Amino acid sequence: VDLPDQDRRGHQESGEDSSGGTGPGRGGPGRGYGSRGRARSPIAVLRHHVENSSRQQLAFQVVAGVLTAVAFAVLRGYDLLGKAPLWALLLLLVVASLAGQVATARWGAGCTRVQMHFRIAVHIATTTAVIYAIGWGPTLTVGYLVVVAGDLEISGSAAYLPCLIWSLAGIAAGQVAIALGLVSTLVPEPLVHGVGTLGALGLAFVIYLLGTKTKDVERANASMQAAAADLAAANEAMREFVAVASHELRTPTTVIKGFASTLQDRWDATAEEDRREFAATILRSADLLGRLVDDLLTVSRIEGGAVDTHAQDIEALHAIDEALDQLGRRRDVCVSAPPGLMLHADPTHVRRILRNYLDNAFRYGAPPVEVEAVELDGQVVVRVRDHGEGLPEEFVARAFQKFSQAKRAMGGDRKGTGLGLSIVKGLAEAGGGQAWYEPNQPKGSCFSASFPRT
Amino acid sequence: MSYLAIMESAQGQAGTRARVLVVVEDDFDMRLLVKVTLAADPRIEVAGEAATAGEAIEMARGLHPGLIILDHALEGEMTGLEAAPLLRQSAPNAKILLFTAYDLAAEARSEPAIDGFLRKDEIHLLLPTVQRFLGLPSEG
Repeated sequence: VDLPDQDRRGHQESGEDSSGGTGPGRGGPGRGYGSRGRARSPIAVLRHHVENSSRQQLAFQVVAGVLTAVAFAVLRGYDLLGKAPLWALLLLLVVASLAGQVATARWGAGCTRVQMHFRIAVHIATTTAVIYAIGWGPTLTVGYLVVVAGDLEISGSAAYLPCLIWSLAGIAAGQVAIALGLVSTLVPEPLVHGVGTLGALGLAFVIYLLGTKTKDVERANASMQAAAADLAAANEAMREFVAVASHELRTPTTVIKGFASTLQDRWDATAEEDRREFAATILRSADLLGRLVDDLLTVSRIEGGAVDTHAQDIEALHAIDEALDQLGRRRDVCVSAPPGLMLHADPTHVRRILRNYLDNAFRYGAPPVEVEAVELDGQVVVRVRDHGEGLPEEFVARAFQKFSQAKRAMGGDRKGTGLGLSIVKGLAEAGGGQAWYEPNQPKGSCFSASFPRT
Repeated sequence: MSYLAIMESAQGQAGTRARVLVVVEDDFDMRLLVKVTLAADPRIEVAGEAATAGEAIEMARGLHPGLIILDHALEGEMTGLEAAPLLRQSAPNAKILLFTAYDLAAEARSEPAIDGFLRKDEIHLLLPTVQRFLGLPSEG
């Protein structure tokens, strides 16, 4: 088998795998083969199987088919197949094989290594007993169906070794029995042929598994590489976040430390007005630091999917009034919302979203500031508009990202944490809505958030 | 006389004092802190302030500073690390101290244009470091 090094390693490892059961499913529609309870139509399963089979895998299946056919031919030569024509048996083989694939895809796979040995042993013993009871032709039909359909419940990669062991053991036992002249005396002849035949079929089955396993390894590698890439990206994002968060935390800490130590070391040499200015700066930075920590905790809860949402029916107008009251800006804003327009959301989240938008409008925008609530496509959309400069165009795409502030280019007071809009977005989405920005007409910003309508 | 008044009156004085160009992001408090810290040594003059790499390169050419205190996170496209070689070209005699809240000690070491690195939270080391780079004996 010409596998790349990485594939070969994966192949050997899974060949020695003793965990059994939970490995990837075999040659078929990806994870569906290994997962219990996924209902797919047989046609969809087969189409997926054909589309996902590599040339190598198909070649293995052909070899397996040829070996099986040879096993049948040999049996026929010994006149052990009754009157069934060879083409009918081959047709049966194909049908059984497909039935097994469909069965596995629909009902899943999974068992331990010991269970797997037990199952295969039971198959061989049962089939042999049936051979003894009812003869070759019908038994091969039933037996092969049992082996293919039944064993396909077992994860392909983990079934490889048990199948090989039992197949070889069956053939060897038959040969030993013949060599020792035990056939027809201690061991009945049909038993020897039965075990031998199932051994040959088992070998074919192993080769079939090898083919499907190759595909499994490829698929597992591909999915592992994708997972590794996802992990690396998440890691990089986390590293970036930690770097920026530490930077943002260090800046106010440094300012506090620096001015406090200046006051301590040079109290007498510092003019009264400077002392006041330094103390005010310390307070401002401590306040920023506190808000940063709160916001970081909120971001962490949002990103961990641990936002507590206690949604209830609230009137849009009431939520807007509450947010304005908290900011003490009720008189500075023009509110437009139809009475009785109800939304379904967590009131504290709605207030936080509105407070953030309004705070930004007062801080960075220009009056008049307007708030409106409207019903749109079955949702309640709340918009906060101002008539300032609006967001710089290059900033719009990252306005809702963490630690992005357009203010740097706009001068003046920049005492936000840079997390407000990312929190707004997280809270809106956690409540089943969205948050977005668009330029206001004729000028300024228009920040919107949508909430489910009651 | 207040620090701020001292600093303002010192602006533009020629000659005897060692000139420092401060290039920091537009955090007003941090700029103030740097200036207040340096104002403790009257031999040091903050000769100019810039918020972008472009401004800094232009100012460095005219001011001939002895030291450039360079932040990493600047306004505009260029970071402090990227700006350092260009600053070195426009003021070949100036030492460059990378002063940032990011952990960039290793990056700063591998950039030949940068002479020293100080993390912002080590603000208590800023004055002695600046004195050392400017060749000013510590006042003890």
